[in-house]
Formats: sequence, C-alpha cells, structure tokens
Amino acid sequence: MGRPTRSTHTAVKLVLCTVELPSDILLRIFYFLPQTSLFTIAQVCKRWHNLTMSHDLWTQIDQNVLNRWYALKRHRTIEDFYTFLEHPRFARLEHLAFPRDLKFGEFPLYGILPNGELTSDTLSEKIVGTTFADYQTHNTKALVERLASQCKYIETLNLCNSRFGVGDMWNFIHLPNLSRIVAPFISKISSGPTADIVSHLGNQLTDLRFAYDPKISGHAGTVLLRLVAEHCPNLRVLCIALKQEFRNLYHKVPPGRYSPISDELLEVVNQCTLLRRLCLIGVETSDKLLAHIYARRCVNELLHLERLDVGLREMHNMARDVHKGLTDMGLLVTHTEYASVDASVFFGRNAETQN
Amino acid sequence: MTEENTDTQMVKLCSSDDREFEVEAKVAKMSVTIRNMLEDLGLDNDEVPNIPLPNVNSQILEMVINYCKHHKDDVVLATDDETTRERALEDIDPWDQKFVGADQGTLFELILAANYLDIKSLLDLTCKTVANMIKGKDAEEIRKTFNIQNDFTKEEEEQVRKENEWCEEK
Repeated sequence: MGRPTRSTHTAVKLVLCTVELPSDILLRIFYFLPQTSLFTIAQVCKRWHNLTMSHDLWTQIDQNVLNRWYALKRHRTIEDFYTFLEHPRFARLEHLAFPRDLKFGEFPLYGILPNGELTSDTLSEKIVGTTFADYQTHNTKALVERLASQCKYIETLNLCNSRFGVGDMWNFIHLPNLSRIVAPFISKISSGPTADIVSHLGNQLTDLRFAYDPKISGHAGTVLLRLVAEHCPNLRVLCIALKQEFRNLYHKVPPGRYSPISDELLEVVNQCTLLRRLCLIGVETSDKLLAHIYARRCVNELLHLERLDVGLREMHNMARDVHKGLTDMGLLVTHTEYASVDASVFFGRNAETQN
Repeated sequence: MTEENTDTQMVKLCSSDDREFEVEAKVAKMSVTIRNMLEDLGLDNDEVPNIPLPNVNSQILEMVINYCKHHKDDVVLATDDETTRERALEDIDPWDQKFVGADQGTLFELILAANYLDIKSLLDLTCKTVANMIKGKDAEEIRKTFNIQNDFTKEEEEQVRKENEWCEEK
C-alpha cells in the first residue's frame, strides 16, 4: 500500500492513521480498549479486522465478553464453550475464566489422575455416589482431554466467577502450562480435587489464591497447604482470605484462638523460599507464624518477599516488635476491614465480587 | 562520571529540519533511544553532544521536549503483572490531556515520534487518546473520524457484521 499522493497538508495527515501507523502501534491502541470494542473495530476495514485477531489482544477473555457469549443463547454447555474457544483468535489464550452461569453439568465427581487412574474426592467418600459407568457416559474424560489439547498456553485458571461443582478442578489437571490458580472457595468437599491438582502441578505452581473459612472448610486448608509445602517449592504468591459471607463471624472470634492452618503455613513459609507475596486476611494466623516470617526475613531467608497483606485479626495477633519490623521493611499492607479488601486485590483483575 | 553529573549536562537535539534544541541530559534521557545514543557516545563534560533526530521535525520535537520537561521528575512506578494490563482510559491527568488536545495529524505524528524515540509514557498517553476517540463509536463513525476507507464488499461486510455484532459495545 503506497501513500496516496494528495498534496494538501491535512489530507496527508488524516490518512496517517490508516496507512502510516504501523501495526504494532494500532495494536497498542486497541489494547487500551475494552475487548467488546474489538468486535466493533473488526468491522471497520480489512486491515483492522485482521489486527483484531492478533493473539496479543486475546491472552485472556474479559468477563463481559464471556457473559455476553453466554447470554446470547441460554443453556449453553461446557462443550459449547470449548467450541467457542476454538476460534483462531484464542489460539494463544493464557488466562482461562468461565462465563458466570455456565455449569459443568451434573457429573463433577470424578477425574483422571496423570497416571490414568480414576480418582474420587478423597476427603468425603460418602458423597461420591456415581459409578465408573456414569463417568464414561458423561464423557468427562473426553472433555478433559479436549481442553488440554486445545488450550496449551493456559497459565492462569480463574474460577472466581464460575459456578463449579465439587470435583471440577479435575477438569484442569492436564493443562500443560498451568501455574496460577484462583479458586473462589475451598470447602471440605472441593479440597480433594484441588489437592490433586496442586500435587500434580508441583514445581509448576507459582500462584495460588483461595477463599477459606476454618469453620466450613474443616481440614481442607490443612491438607492443601501441607501438599503445597511438600510439592510446590516455586510458589511465588499465596493468598488466603476468609470467605466473604462469613465476615460477620470474623470480628467475633475470641483472641488467642488460631486457625488450624497456622502450622501448615509455617511449613509453607519454610519450604517455599521464593515467596514474593503472601496475603493472609481473616484466617486468624498465630503470632508465632508472623514472628516466624519476620525472623526468616531477618536472616535473609524469604528474600523475595515484597508484600505481606494482613487483616485486623492478624494485626491483633502480631507482637509489637514484629509489627514494627515488618513495617520498617515496607512489607506490611494492612486491611482493617474485610470489606475494604477489594476483590481485585485478592483475586486479580477481571474478578467480580462473589456473592 | 556520576549519574548526577551526566543528568545536568546539556545535550543538543537536532530535528529533521535542522533546528537545534539544547536540553538537560535528564530530559533527553527520557527517550530510551537518546539515552542509548548518549551511552554509546561516552559522555564527556567538555563538549555538548549533538544528537541528530532525522525522523522528527522541529514542531513535534519541541512538543516532545515540553512533555519530557514536564515529566522529568516523575517516579516510574514498578509495575506488577496485574496492573500493567489494566485498561485505564480515564486516568489521564489534565496537563497531559491538554498536551494531546491538538489536531489529529499532530497526534499521529506524536505517536510516531514517541515510538521512534522510545518514550513509553508518551506513547501510552497518545495511544490512549486515540483509543478514547474510538471508544463508544460504531464502525461507520470510526471510519469517518479517521478517514478510513471501507474496503469490504457488501457480502463481506454483512458476514463480518454477523460474526461480531453479538459482542459489540452498545
């Protein structure tokens, strides 16, 4: 395409955008727009149309786009969604999230372990009512394999806005590059699959964020964190916050009572020496844990830690010198009210507040 | 020579139409391209280095220098992966807004200059400004705004419309 030979100064300047702006600059401009605008831009001209297919613009899919896709035709299935993801523009998708109301169906209880064995929720056998035959008819295996072969570049799994069944985490166990998981809530019964995926990912897992409540989650957090300490030495980010709906309980817990996960967290801090960010909000960590983090940092362990988010509860539990020390290091970020913990702080961008 | 000395030293920038602008090195070094050139030259206090910029005319270069002077003391925030990708279109400060408020032609020339000189904040500012001009418009309005020719055939246009209308910003 040559530059049109119009002579007036303004005319030349006006065509600059269409003809002269290099593709990488147009892409930079498009990158600042909400993704929904890309669907309009695609209709402007051929060049813009081709540019909107650029993989750089589609490393993730905005929740708005996902929800509009779902709203277009209700009762879409997970198969429909995977077909949607087959569009060439999503070929290098790195961040996987789901439309808000999409369900995985009625068969969430089984998954396949890397060794090919069928697994069940190890922590609550009694709710596993389905059989292997059911499993095969529901074709879960084919779906798991389809996702893994189709979405090779997925690094982040964000389940914040989705409604997932108990064992749904197994659906993601074969994603070859998965390293970051944002799970809305670990309950007693969903911890089995989550634990499976954590021990399977091992070295690969760098970022784990989940909501947790000691009263509801029972053992779940304990088991999960023990596995993290054991299998995931490369963890950079660990965020745990009390499930929001239980925030009223949060202020009533008497002092001196600590969450059962404090000891496991201590182990995580010992093993995961690359931790960059630790977020513990409303999980009632012990003073011992916080003092331990401080002490490790003082002897140049946990060198990479650059941010420690704590809530009111953790604040209360902190010895004065530990508080001062962590503050002087510029590590401490305090959230005095649970409500002030913006969902985006905890779950990353793209997250709507869960109800 | 220490960093401070080199920052207060003057450098000469020479535009495509041979106008010379003398600015503090600190201002000039907001451009990664110029910073690299200065490093290659190996600065010496005795002479004022002369940097030719054959891709930027004097009108645009003067604007770029004004921008750099205004922003020379900005603290560059360490960006973590979560904020870099944020699409923030609204948070343009008033000085910057006025700065890019000129005509479209100038804006595009500024983009090309920011790109060539590698001044990230200016490139982001100008690209965001164009993005704001696109946002909320339909395809025909965008073509009008930027004088773009619709090169789809009737059939293609219909096809592309069908493929995309479900998710359009309305």
